[in-house]
Parts: sequence; structure tokens; C-alpha cells
Amino acid sequence: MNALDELGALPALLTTLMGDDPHLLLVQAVAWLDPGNLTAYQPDPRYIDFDYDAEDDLTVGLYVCRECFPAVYASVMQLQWQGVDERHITRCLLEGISTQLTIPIGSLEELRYGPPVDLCGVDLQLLDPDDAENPPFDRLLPLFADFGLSRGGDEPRDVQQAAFETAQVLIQSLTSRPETVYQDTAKLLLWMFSLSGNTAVDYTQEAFWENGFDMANWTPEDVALINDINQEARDFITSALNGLQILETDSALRKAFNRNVRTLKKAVQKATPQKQKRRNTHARTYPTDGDDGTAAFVRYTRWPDRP
Amino acid sequence: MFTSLDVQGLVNCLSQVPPVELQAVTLLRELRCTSATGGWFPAVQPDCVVEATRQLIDYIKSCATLLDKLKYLAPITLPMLEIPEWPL
Repeated sequence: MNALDELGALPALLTTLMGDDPHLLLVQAVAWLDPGNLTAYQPDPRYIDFDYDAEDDLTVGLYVCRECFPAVYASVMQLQWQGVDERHITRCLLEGISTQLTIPIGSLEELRYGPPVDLCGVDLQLLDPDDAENPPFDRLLPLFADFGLSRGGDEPRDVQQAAFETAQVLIQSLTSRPETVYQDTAKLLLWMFSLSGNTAVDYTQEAFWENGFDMANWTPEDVALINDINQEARDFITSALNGLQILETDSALRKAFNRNVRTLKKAVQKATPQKQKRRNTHARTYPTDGDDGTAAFVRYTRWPDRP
Repeated sequence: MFTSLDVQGLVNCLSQVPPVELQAVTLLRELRCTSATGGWFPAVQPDCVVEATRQLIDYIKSCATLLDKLKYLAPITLPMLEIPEWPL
């Protein structure tokens, strides 16, 4: 037997020998299925968490898969054993991770910021009709105009406050209606005035960072939560855009919407000085209607019948 | 109520713990590579590899967690132990 044949038989000989020792068998199992555990992807003992900034993109990708997507990790590990090149490995990681997320990732670098959240909140200061990347946003401007608001959001504070309170009453009125068209319109207003309660719907990218929120971590629990948030936001925005389209096409409904906004704005503005007076700590009476009286204004709204 | 445990008791206790049956180890043992396949590891169905990997990762993580807990075990007082040097 020549030297090359002996070398070829070496793996079989070694694996047979290792198979007799349970410790070596376990090491062999780790080398086969979780080799990263023997070398990289181990958190630095000086830190509690994995340091995403200190590692390269591929290491971060493998670590994330090991923590959250074992199926992707297993398949990539086998590809590595087959000697597949790094570019192909990277592509497999990207595709594998993206299939597990509601919002797919574009590059492994994005993994450093936690599970992606599709923040699609509305901010009047950022609304730009000429921004081709945000086509629905310029369509919101005529609706904001009904509330006395315009692009830039430079209106005085009392105007903004009245618009906000008017929107709250309208939402309350719309959500009490069972018809889909009104439910969609309510979602449109909840989106426009950041009142949905869903982070992805209410916050813009800028507002999210300015508020100093921490991103979610790469844990199975956080990934499931972020997927739920993104899915809910996606459904929410779809409904809101349906509401927008209906308001743009149904002229009778648009008129009713505009009329209701005007009526409620007047009622809210009229009630504001009284409310401020009642909020005066030196006054002898205090507000009794817990939700700032919005419920009282709902009776002013009138909506046409819709299927 | 637990009162005490000596070394022999601990050994007896631990020796009664059944060994963990890891799927990866079972696969390696059952499908030992032969010179015909020529590789280091057996050829296994992808879903089998995924399940074995998932189980192995969970096992490694639980071992690491246990190790962390052992590191920070609270000291146990031994009232029966006499230390003559103590008064010194």
C-alpha cells in the first residue's frame, strides 16, 4: 500500500478508533455538526453577550443562525464541510435567515442591529411629495390638510393639539362601526397620528433612534416577537392604504369625512378653554370624564351607510 | 428535608443519572465511516442532520448553563467539621 492509499484510509481508521471512546465520539459529533463551537462564535468571557461589532459578517451570521435558526446553521455547516466557497455560504445564510423573518435582510451586516423592524411611521416633518421612495405618503397630505396640518408640521401647538384630539374622536367614531370601510379608515387615522400601539406602525426610523430604544436581540423569543410586530404592521398598513384608496375614490365618504373633521375641530376648539380651566390646579372642580371628553364628541359624527 | 450528603452519596447519586443519548453520537456510532465512503462523517439525510444539530446545540447550551451555575454555588457550612486552627 503506497503512502497515498494509507492517507486515504486514515479518516476511516481514525473514526473507527474514536468510535470506541465516548469522549472522542462526542468531540467528533461536535466537529461534525457544531464546529464553530470549538473555535469561533464563543462569547468573549469578559462580556456577557456576543460582541457583534468585534466579529466579521460571516461569524455574526453563523452565530445568529446557531442561536435562532438551527436548521439554517446545520445546512450551512454541512456546506462548509463540503468545501463550498464563502460567497455561496453567505448567500445561503442570507436566504435561510430571510425565510425565517417577516422582513427579509439584504446583507449579513444588517444582523448587527438585531432582528429587522420595518418602521413605517408617519412624520409630517419628513413628508415629501417628491420622495419617490415613499409614494403613499404624499397622498396623506390632503387628509392632513383637513385637520389644518401641512407638510413640515410647523403649525402652532394648539392647532396640532386640536388636530390630534379631533383624530382621536374620529377614530373612536369609526371603530364603533362594523363596516370594513370604516375599520380601514380608522386604521388610516391611527397610522397618520401614530396611535396604533404598534412600534413599526407608529415610529419612523428617525423617531425610533431619537427615542433611544434598544433593538431586539437575536433570541428565538425576540425573533418571534419582531415577526409578529412586523406582520401586524404589514396587515395594518395594508388596511390603512385600503382606507386611503376608498377615501380617494368615494366622494360621498370623502365629503362626510371632511364634514366630520370640521364639526369636531370646532367642538374640540370650543371645549379646549373650558378643559384648560378645569385643569387649573387652583380651580375647585376637576375633570370627571377620564378620556378628555372625546367620547362626548362622537355623537357629532355622521357617516353614510356603506356595505 | 435534606440534611447532608457525603462524597460517596454524591457519587452514588450521579452514577444513577442515565447517560444522554445524543442523536449525533448515535449516528456516528451506527454509521461509522468506511474506506468506501472515504469521509470523516457519515452521509445522513438533511432532516436527520438538522435534528441532530439542534439537539447537540441544546445539549451544549444546557452544559454551559450548568457550568455557569456551578461557578457561583453558594458556600455550604459544615458544622461537623472541626478546625483546630480556627482559634489561632
